[in-house]
Amino acid sequence: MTLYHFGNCIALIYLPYYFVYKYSSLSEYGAFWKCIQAGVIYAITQLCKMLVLATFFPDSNITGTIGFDIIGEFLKCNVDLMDLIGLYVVLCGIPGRGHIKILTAGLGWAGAEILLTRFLLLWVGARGAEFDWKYIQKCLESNVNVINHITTAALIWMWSRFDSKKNYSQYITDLDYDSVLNTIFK
Amino acid sequence: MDEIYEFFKNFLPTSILLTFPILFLLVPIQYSHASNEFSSYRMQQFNFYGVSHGCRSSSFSLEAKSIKTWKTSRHCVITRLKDLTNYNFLDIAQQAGALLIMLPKDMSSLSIDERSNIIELEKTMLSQEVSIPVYFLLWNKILQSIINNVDILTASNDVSYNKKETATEALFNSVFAMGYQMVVNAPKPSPILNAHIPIIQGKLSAYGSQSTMSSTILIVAHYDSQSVAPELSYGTDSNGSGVAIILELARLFSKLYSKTKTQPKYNLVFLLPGGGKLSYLGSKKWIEEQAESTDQNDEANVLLQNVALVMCLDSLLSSKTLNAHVSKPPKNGTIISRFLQELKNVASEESTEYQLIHKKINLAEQILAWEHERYSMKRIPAFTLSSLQSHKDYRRTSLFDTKEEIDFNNLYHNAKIIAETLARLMYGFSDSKVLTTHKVEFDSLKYNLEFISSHPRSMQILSDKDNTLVVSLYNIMSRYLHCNLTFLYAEKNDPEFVFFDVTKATLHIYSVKPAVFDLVLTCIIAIYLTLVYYMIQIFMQILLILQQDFSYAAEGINVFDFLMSSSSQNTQNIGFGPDDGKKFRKTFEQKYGHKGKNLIESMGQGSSNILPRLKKARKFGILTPITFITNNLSLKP
Repeated sequence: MTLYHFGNCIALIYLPYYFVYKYSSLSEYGAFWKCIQAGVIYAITQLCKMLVLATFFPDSNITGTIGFDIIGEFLKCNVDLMDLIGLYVVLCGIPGRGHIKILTAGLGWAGAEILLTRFLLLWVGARGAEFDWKYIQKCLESNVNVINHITTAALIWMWSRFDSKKNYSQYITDLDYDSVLNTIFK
Repeated sequence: MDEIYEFFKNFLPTSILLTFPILFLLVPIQYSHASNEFSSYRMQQFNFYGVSHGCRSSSFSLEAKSIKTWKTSRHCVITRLKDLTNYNFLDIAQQAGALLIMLPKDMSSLSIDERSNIIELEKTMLSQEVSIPVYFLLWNKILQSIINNVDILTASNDVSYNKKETATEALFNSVFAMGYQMVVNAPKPSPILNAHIPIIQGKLSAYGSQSTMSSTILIVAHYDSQSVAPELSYGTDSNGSGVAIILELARLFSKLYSKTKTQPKYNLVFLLPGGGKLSYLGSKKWIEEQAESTDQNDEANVLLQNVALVMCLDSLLSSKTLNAHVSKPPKNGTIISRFLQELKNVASEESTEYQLIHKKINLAEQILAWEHERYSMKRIPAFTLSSLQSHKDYRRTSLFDTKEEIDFNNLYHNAKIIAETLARLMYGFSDSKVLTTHKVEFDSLKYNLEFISSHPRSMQILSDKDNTLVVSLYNIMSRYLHCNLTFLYAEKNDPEFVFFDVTKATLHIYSVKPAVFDLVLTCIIAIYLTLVYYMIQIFMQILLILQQDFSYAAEGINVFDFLMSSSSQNTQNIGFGPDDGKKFRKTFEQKYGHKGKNLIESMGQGSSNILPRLKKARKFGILTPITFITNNLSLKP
């Protein structure tokens, strides 16, 4: 019955992505290849992030366990801003109308994320004899992540428009920052 | 889907699509990522003179139930040691699938009643063959909570049984109830081949050239222990205390023997035989071996002939009392009566209770009461010193015999009396205190006992060659004595003892849901996905409407911009009634002048007025301004 449970989880996690792709007119634009590209850029961005983290933020758990280094942690969180840069690169690479652009970037990005971070987790976890609500929760969480990434992509796209008003873009930057920090502290 | 197929066809060989899933499916499911793993100790299993004792099997994978709710052999009963009774155990052993018993956190916290129950239980468990796997678990916070959960689940089940809760509640419980799957993967227990019993013998030789002919005092303490679980039998009192005293006596007397001035005329032999809990098999075999050597000049033969006295030490930790157990009352004038008389004197000097207990050997019983009976049966004068009144005392084969709640002072006190008596006997003094400069050291005694009682010493565990505990015991002995180590093997054809391996295993506990749960989950997911599907559909429609509405919004984009920017692909139907033109004229003329004069002019010059608005329109994703198409209206220039 555990393989069945794994099937449940897979359905829960991947079918919404398929629906978004299929029914949000992305499929009509043949954006599949663009999604893959977004995924590749996602992977590269994560690699860069890891390199930066490993180089500039050596594991603080080993040296000093006492006290919480607020500035260090804050800087560490800022590394996640590289996600935004990556997403921007993705957006630049996609020609076409605005909402297609945003959807493709967001979906590709989120899709790469679930493929790389969730599939192995589910394969190892949800197939075992042990039952845990954690896996269902992860699946639902990654469903929320699709929306999160698409909105982030939308915000970046709006920010990148040179003609948006100054105070407006300020607002957008804040929002970007919020959405990134939210994911960190979740 | 075609494009996905195309993509894979172009970039990857199709065979990979097949091989990867197959590879994944072939990877075995590993149990290593279970949330809870505990080391568990299997119940004792051995054959003694062809009769099998203890638990016969080792592996299971069953659902956990409490002691009250288990029903079939598909259930594994998990319980606390004190909740298990004799009657329950017999029932479980016959009909349940497996039994897991958690030991209490603190053995000393149990009441006397509970203790005696457990002792009874231990006896029952070992007296017969048990076909189901039985494991013991050490107290653990997580385990405690798991057992509590199992109990609570069962309690709620009981309520449902009595009160007839509503059908929906029962249904809900049957679907969402949490269960525990207990899994132990252990090899099938098999007899340990070439199992043997190590015997350590050390000697201090008497003064004079004819030392081998001198009479010999033999001090014996078996070093093994036994309880219902081999890995948990630490045997501090029985017989860690005896071994600790022997090691201390060896240290003390080796000093006295090393100087010719203080070298007594007795040979002193220390013997640590194994198999003490198997009816003193070690001693039996040792005696047989000594007697078998027919050669008159052989040292072994001479040794046995010259044994004047055998003193066995057993369980000397529980109180400051010494009981001398003998098989027949000693006659006056013999060395044994002299020794016991001396012991009585010393004990009264040290204000210690002393008692001579006489018990005839019962040959009908399978297991002899005390170790000295082995020697008495061969007409060698022997007695056992113990703090216990009776050989049936529970402490001798119980889980309770651990390092907890022991008093080293008792041991020290008893050891002092024994050493003093021995010294008086050997040097021939009777009144004055002999051991003044050299005496029993408290620290060394304590260290010995702590060392010996920190290892489980069931014969199963000690029966492999080069066992570290046996080797280190040997090393400690040979520091003071001339030692040799012999091994006794069971007879090939009709073995006296057979030990079985798999004394411990790892227990995995998985929290699981019933199979129905997954089906229900599938339904819920299906509903959820349908909702998502409709939400996406609705969202896309909203998006389309929004695209239109943006043009009406107060963003500065008016109908004209909208018309300018509407998509060519989607023909827009704009409601435009006959009166609308008139209404629209006023605002139009305000912006673009009379009859749109300004508009036409500015377009002709390259509009500065209209471009920002077009940009705003583009911002909402509408890039290409297209033709004006309305069904109801065609604008004439």
